[in-house]
Amino acid sequence: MKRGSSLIVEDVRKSFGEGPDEHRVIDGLSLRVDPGEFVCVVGPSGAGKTTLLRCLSGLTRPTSGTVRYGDSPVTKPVADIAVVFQDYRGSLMPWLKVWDNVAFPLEGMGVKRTVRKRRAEECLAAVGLSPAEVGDKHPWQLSGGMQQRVAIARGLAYEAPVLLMDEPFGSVDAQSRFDLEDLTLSLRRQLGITVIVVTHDIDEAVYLGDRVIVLGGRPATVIDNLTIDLGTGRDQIGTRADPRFAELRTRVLTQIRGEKAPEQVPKAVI
Amino acid sequence: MSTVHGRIRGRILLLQVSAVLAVLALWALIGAAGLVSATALPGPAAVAARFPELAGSGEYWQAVSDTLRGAVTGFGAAVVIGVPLGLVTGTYAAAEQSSRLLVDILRSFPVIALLPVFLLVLGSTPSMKATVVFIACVFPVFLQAQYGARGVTPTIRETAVSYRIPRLLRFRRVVLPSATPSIMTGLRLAATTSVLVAIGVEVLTTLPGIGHMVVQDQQGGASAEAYAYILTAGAIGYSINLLSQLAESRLLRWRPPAHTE
Amino acid sequence: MFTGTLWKSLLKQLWLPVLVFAVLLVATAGSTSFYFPPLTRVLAALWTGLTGGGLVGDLLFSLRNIAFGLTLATVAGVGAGLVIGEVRLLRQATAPLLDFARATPTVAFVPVIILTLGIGSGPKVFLIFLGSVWPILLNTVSGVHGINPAVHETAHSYRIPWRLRLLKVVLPGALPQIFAGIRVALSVAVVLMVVSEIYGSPVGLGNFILQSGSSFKVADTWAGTILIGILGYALSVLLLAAEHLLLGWYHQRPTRARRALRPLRMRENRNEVLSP
Repeated sequence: MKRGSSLIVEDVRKSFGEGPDEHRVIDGLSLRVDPGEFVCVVGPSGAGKTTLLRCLSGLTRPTSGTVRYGDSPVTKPVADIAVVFQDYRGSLMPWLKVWDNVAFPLEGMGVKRTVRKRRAEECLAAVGLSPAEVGDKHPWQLSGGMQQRVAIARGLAYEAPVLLMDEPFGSVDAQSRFDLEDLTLSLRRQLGITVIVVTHDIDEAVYLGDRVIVLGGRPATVIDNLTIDLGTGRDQIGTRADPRFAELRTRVLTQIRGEKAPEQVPKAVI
Repeated sequence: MSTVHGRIRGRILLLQVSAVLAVLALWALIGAAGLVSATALPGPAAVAARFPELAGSGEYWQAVSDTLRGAVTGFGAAVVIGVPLGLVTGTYAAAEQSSRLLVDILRSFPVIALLPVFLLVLGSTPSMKATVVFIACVFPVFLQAQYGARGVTPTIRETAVSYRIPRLLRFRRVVLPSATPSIMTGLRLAATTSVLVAIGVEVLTTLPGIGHMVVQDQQGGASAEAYAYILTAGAIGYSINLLSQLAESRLLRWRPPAHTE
Repeated sequence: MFTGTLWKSLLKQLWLPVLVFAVLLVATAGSTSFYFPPLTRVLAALWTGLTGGGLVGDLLFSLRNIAFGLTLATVAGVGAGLVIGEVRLLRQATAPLLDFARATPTVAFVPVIILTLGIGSGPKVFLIFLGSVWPILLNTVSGVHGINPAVHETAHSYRIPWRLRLLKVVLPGALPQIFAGIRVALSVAVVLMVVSEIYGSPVGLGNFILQSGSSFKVADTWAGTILIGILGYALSVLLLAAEHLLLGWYHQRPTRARRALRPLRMRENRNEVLSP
């Protein structure tokens, strides 16, 4: 995998509508992700995380400010950035077989069929699926977790040094979620890619990231940027039991909770 | 496992056969009780008796082929013109918005009402029949193709865009397959309509075909034969429906199973 | 509250029909063709027919027949459809029969019915009923069948009596599909109305265009044809309005960001099911 460049966001504002109906989603947002980093972006629902990701990937243009990849501005999808969408069920094409789905980005690049198929099988294996078993099936025949792996495999097939993931494990059951988290970590380790994960799950963000960026406020902006010093060898049992893990997640949770008005925070009733 | 399944299917078949027999019995009863005149509703036995003779006569098959020829010609033209146009207008939203109201108005128009006008302009010819069939079929086909092209979900569209899939490939591998279910529905509707309109034209003009035979027979008092032709028309419509569903299930094998029994 | 977006949306949808109308107006203005008189002359014929000629009488005759026929078909179709849809055995047993009935082109019955029962209103209403009842019935069955089983189980676990269940659970649940069926039935009804009136009728719009056509009153023929189109369109808009009224919960309400009011438009027959 080739070494990518840094992804830089400078004072970005994104609003929808105009005049009195203008709805500012993010404002004055700046951040930077360097090659090889694993960054998680957290925030409460509706905070503009998905909007930010869409600006990063070139699917949307910011109203003002710039998103740069290396030296060039990102105004439309680029070859170096792959996106894994939240709705894997919706983003996999039902009429294509699994390997066809994975190879589709390559088809778009004009790669020949035999080469594409081989690459697709490699990517399927990389995400822990057996190409012989699932390659010729249709997406709906696989479980949710497996479908999300296929979506990730597709992102890998694109051979981009930067992987953006929008709440990738939210619709998957809890056990599969842990497996997929570890898969993502191992992929990053093996391939040396840059990964940016947008999530509302604080535990997941702290578990996965080298850094956690906390979004908050209306319109949203960066309210914290903390380095996760839990080491490089993360595992579901050890890391999550680590007291430092609890400290970090408490800090993030407090900031996010602080965004809510006191009456919005539910109190337990015995 | 298979015997249980087979037994259930056998039971359903039995039910269906008994339902058909029940209806036939009711039909015979109405005729026998004299509730309706024999010319309005001849008994099932009388109608059934006509079939062997009709099947042997060239006139019968000629009428069937006349109807089908008009229907198929109009239908074919409608598909060739309607599907591409629908796909194009469905892909470009601006065109779709502009044509929406116009197509809505034209779609709700009963094409058969154009018959007196068409008789004036084109006269009573087989090509007039095919033209009327064409106009009746082109709208459902066009609309369904358009609906299908528009129906590409935003997620899928964005996925294709984010992976920078070139436009032509996107059309071939994303829009077209996504639109196929809708197009197939349109074809199914149009196929049924084509036979319906063809017969309608034949009833109202002297153009040859099943409709004309029904008129002729009824006017000549041979209502059992007229009913035989009506049942033939029903059989044709039923087969078209069956064939379309078969084609659909073949072409759309990739579809996840919908609500099952 | 008229915002800029409302005007823009209306403009986008209206410019083409208005343009087409204007082009037709201008293009046919000086027409000397016998079969394609100037649009102005056709509209004038329409006007005179409606304001003094018997066209109103014809219109009311046709309207009354189609209204009766459709109403009867709806009542019978929904009633029978609810029962058949609910009783699984019945639905399975009658499926091929209903499919066949649906597939039979009712226009073929027109000569038989009119020649034996006469050219009055009754036979026409019967024909319209005969043709319209099947799509409504089949769609009702499909609508009932398609109700989420969880809904049934909930009603069952709360021991809701079957009468109330039918009225408050099954009927509303099947309503979207039923409306789709009525929309199809409407187009079938209009066709049958026209065909039965052309074939044999003393009055009515179909009869009007037949007479005008055979006496070569070309402008009148076009005028009558246009009026039939207007009638059909008006009925479908009415149906759509009724559907919006009764199915407000079914249609997604537009989000705040998309405030522009959309003019009444017709949905395609995506819900149409020809067999369960």
